[in-house]
Amino acid sequence: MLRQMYYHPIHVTIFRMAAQVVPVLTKLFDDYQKTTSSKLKIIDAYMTYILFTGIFQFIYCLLVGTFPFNSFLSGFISTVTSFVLASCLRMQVNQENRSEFTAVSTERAFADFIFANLILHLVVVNFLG
Amino acid sequence: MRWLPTLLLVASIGIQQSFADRVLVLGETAAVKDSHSVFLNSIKERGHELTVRAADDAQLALFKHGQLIFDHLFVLAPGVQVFGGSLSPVEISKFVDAGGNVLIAAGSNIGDALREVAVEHGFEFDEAGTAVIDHHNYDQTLDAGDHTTIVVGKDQIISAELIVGNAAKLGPVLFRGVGLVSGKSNNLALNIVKASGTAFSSDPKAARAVNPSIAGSRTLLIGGLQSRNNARIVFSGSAEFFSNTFLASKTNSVNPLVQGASSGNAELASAISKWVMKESGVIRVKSVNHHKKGETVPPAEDYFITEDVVYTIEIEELKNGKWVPFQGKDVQLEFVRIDPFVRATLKNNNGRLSAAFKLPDVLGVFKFLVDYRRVGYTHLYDVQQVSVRPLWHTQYERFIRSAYPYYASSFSMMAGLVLFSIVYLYHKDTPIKGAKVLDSEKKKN
Amino acid sequence: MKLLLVLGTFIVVACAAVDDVSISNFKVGILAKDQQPDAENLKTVAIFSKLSGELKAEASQRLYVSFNIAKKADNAKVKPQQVFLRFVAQNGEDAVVVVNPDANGNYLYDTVLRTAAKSFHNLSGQFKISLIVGDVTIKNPINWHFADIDAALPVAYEPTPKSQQVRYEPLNEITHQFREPEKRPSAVISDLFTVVCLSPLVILFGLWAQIGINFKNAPASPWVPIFHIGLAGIFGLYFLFWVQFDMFETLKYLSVLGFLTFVAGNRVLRAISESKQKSD
Repeated sequence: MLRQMYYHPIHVTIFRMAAQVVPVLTKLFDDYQKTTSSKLKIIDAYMTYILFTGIFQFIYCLLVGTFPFNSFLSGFISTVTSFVLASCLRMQVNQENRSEFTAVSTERAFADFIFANLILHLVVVNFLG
Repeated sequence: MRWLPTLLLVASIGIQQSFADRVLVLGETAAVKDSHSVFLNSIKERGHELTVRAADDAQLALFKHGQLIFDHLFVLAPGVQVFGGSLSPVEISKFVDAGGNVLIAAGSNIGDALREVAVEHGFEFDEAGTAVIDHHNYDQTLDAGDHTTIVVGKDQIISAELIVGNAAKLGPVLFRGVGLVSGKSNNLALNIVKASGTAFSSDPKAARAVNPSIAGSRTLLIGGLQSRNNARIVFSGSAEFFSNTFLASKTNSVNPLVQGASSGNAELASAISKWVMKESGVIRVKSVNHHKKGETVPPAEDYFITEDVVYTIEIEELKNGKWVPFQGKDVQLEFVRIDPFVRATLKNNNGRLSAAFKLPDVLGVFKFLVDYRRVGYTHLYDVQQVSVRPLWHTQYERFIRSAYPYYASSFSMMAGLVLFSIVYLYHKDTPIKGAKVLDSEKKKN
Repeated sequence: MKLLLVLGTFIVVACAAVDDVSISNFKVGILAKDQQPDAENLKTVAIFSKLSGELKAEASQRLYVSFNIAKKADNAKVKPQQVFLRFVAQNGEDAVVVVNPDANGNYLYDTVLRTAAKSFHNLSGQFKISLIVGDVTIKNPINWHFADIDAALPVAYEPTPKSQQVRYEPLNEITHQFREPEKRPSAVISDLFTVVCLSPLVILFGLWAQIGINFKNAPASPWVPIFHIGLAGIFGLYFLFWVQFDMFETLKYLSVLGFLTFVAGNRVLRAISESKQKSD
């Protein structure tokens, strides 16, 4: 590869690197589809939704400025923390991690998830302004 | 001019009775009540009590048991070297500090006592034996040949109606006496009557004016000041300015530009005496109020930043013995926290002056300050202290349109959570081909 | 009494010798420190006329004025009581200096301006110079503005402290400059982004539909709807908290709703767990 970078112009090198990345991503995606249970996929879909909401809020803030800064923080941190809590839930209910979470049943994980979310959203609304 | 006292009597009937003030008049001898009778009677006719004494009378006193016995002191005794009784330049300064008003008239035979009094108050008379000489403006009839009886024109008189009356209508004024000069650091000095540019102060018998310390229009004939406690002091270089002779004379100036006419001494002396005795140019605050726009009293809590406030002050002026609404249009209000943040001219509505403005967006302890200082008027100084607080956290703007995306996202998160809980809890998992089933799960089964 | 006084004055006036005087040989000029006065740097001025052009002087130069005063009748030189030069500044204030005669009775003023400025009371700049001559024996006293001068004199600057200043005129008005409020985007952009931020819900539904959801694990318990309604109710309460309530009221209602939802949720999860164990 380095030798290729030495002998060929840069755009050709980039094209060749991209050409190697795409099959990797495709394989990753297919494996994901096959090896993940649908319950986890539901959580993943929920997390994707949270991610996009956060990204769109951030883009809006970059465009127009931070004017009601408390509102921006409130909305953005709502998405970030929801994402974190959802990822905690996913970790705890994933059957592959059962050995790590022997003390926490999946029902208990869900109860904790709901409880934490309730506190989160109370704080978010208080700060929203 | 026999009709002059009658004229004054008739005029005084038109004047309302002013407060009966007690005036102590000192002359070189008690005969001053004859030589200056017209002037003194005009004051009596305004309703005041006059006590005429000689300046070295051993019974003189201004204070009794710490209280003022007199409200005003007129010294028409140029030659007094030492005052009698308990009077002295120091006593006169105490009298002024206590609010008493003083009129000092000197002459070429000025004594040390008067020179000391002048120095105490930021003026200096020239030495005894000197006189103000003006070879270009002397009175041909009254002068004794040394050109010390001078005629003063209108342009040498201060343009302040409260002190000198209507100077434009004044006849030429006669003066014979010693020169006066105001001290360099005397910021409060008022040049009531200046000498003309050709005048100088010197010994009239000297063959040459070698080193006149006082010459030109710096020479004052009558100077005055209103001290910081609003007591008024006037120094006149001439006691003869107030005498019957000068009040009654017609002028005859050698200067062809000054027409001969009845001297303006009577009107000028009367106006100056009214100013010194606080019958004119006296204002006071009747009431002060400040409040938020739309209310009538100051707020129970302090003001907040950027609020609209309205400030109202009522000022009265003493005219002919009665307090009437003050009509000045240039009174200013300052909103000060060390430096002024806002300075506005108050709108005058017949004595009620008001201004409305928006409080600055700065916190702190502020003052509504009215500091009105104009030539001839008493100094008006009113301070109202207020605090300006930052907004409470509940007073900020809410439901801002530009924050709608954030509000929408936050509530959509909550909605998403509810939907997720419904979808997730009751979903039966589809088993995956080739997924690792852990031993622990196998044990459960 | 008054008549006698008037008569007496008249007699005195009539007895005093009073003459007319005139000025001759009047020369004025600005000289450098060591320069000798001669016809080149001095200008002659006829009486009662004014020097054309303005004299310009530095503090190191000398003002030279020389003239003779003599009686008109017999040209005899006189030494009047008052022989002054008066400098009137632009603000109306003036400074006066004396001109002395020399041994021959000729009047001469020749002083370095820096020295003269000591009696000028901190005036500087443009002045009108006048010659003033007067005496009890002079019938026609002279007040003659003969030249203008622009002199840069040294001025001692002594500022008065602010507390000592006395001002009789109204001061400038001041209005406070408020901080500019932050610029906000237009309503169109905000509304657009509101819709954009709500759009991931659509993505969520799409993904879930793609995954395929079922409700096969739902236990037949009455606590199920209670739990979800309780949860939705709590978020409704949060919305009311945002719009209207304060924290204390919200916590009051939350304690009730929260307890209810907790109990319901507990029952639902227990039912799910039991049904899972049964099916295994």
